Amino acid sequence: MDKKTTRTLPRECYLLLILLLIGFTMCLGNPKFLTFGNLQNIILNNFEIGMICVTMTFVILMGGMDMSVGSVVGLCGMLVGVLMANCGMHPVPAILCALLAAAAVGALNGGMVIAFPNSNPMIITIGSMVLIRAVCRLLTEGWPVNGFPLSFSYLSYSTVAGVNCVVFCLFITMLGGQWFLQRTVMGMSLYAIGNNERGAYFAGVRVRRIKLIMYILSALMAGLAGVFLTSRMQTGYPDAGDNYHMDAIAAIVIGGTDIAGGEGSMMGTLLGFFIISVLKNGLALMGVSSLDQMVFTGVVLIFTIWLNRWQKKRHQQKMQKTQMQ
Amino acid sequence: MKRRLSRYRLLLIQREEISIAITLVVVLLVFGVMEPSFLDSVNLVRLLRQACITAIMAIGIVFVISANGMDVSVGAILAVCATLSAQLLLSGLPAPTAILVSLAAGAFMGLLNGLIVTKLGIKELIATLATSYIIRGLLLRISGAKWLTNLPRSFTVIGQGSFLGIPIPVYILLAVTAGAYLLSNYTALGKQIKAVGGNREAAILSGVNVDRIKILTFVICGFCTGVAGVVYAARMGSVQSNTGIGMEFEVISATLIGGASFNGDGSPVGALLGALLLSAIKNGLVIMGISPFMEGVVTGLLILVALAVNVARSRMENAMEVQDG
Repeated sequence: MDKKTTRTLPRECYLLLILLLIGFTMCLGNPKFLTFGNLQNIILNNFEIGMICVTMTFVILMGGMDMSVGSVVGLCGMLVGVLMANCGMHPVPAILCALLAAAAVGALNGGMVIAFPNSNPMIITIGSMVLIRAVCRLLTEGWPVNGFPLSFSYLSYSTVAGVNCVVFCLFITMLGGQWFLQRTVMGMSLYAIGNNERGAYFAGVRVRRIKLIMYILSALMAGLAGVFLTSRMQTGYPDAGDNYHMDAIAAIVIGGTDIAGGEGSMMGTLLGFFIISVLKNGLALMGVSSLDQMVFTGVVLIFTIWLNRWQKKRHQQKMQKTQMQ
Repeated sequence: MKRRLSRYRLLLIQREEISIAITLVVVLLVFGVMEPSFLDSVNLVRLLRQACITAIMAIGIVFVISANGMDVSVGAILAVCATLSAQLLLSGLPAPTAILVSLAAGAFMGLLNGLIVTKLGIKELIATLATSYIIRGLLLRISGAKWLTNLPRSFTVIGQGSFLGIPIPVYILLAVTAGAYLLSNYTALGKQIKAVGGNREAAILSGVNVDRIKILTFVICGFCTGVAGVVYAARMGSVQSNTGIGMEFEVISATLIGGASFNGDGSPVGALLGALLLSAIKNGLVIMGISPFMEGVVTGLLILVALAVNVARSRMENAMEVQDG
């Protein structure tokens, strides 16, 4: 094959371009945008969604869907708060308990997805989304919980070299996700399951086990995000993370991952996450009302996803052309 | 005896609505025994009135879900239609005109959803998420986030009035149910919607215009949501800008409990019964003084149970087909 004719820019380049364009516009709008404090704030304010995006990408890549992550964020945030404030537990065992609860929810989701192979995972996880949210509100009858030991706030307020640890945490998780998808057998098999589940099964991929692991992983990450959120807010809110599943799915789809599975990358998810976060932050800095922010976000969502598809189509056309030659 | 039994079993298996109806009756009886005032005619009428809006929306969305789609913008569409009808009435238009314009607006927003999904090729979940952002943002801009009150009596009678002791919304609900039932069971369109949801490739090969069917399901859903919006405005007598936030998952829950799945299953009657079941549980818990948050627990469990019943039913159906053949 001739190299010249097959060359199209990878999808991530377009996303990077869009991100830079948005960033540039925001700089013009308000010079404060490009300060270290603000850039760090962008990550700090959306850190939980970013963490969820990583494992959600795994789940979506294998053709699954986890709508319950938002509720798990709420559940674990509340659970860790209740255990510390009302039961006087030390933060470490409290966090472990919360993560255990998250893993149980993940096992429930994964188990049901395996048990009902012909049902849409979206239905299953909508069921557990409603269920878990209600359990989370029942914990305190809908009241927020606060009054935690000081050591708990170290989780989200400690810094290394002037940078909040949370920032490193997010980048390490994302890099880890990238490594997992590109360099491990299990990561590669996610693509196989998403493309052709039956084929993957006959090729020796342990489909059921991998599905279970991924749903547990997704819930665990959501639980961790909930713990961080409670630590950052110093309060556990029963409605916390209400829309996180939607935010995460939006970021992932902007990043070029096929919502039906089988195609996508962690790099794309990272860029999608930053596009949404930068947009939110920048518009707020420019003094755009939260109503118009919603309109902008919606338009950017539709435009970016359409661009992804257009780029994909063009790439396929070029490939066909070269094959014909 | 044996033959009769198996006939009943056959009926149970083929008509998913019957198992939901039985559940509804059982729930009503249980609440009635535990708290006799639950079965008062006053309370039952109140229950029906509460159920109407969710039920009308659920009947609309059942078509979208049957065709393997998803619509999370119904809450926003409800808000627009309610606000629009109130705004038009306050500006002095007669009630019929305001209602017609609102219904048209609902159908138009459904059309927009359908066009974005089919022509831009964006998946339903994300496309409707984006449109719900845009619609809500624009709505608040137009209505100025004001409370719209003092709607004329000629309009509010639609939501608050009664005819022969039965609230007028119930008549509207019955009309919508009848229309949807006819559409789903006795028209080519109804069959085509199920075909698209059940097996998209087969539908394309048998000459069904999949894009057109998909767009139509969104239009039907938008129209029903428009009806619900008008009833909402009339029942409340005032409209505030945060109308219908989170409503979409209540509606989707009702539809899923009603036996809809993303494989072409689902019937308007099932959605109606699902909505009635949810509102009976909500009402019963309040009357018995149980925490309202328990409602979510019950809803979540019901979704999962409905799913398991669906799976069991399709297995039994398969087994019977094997026996017959």
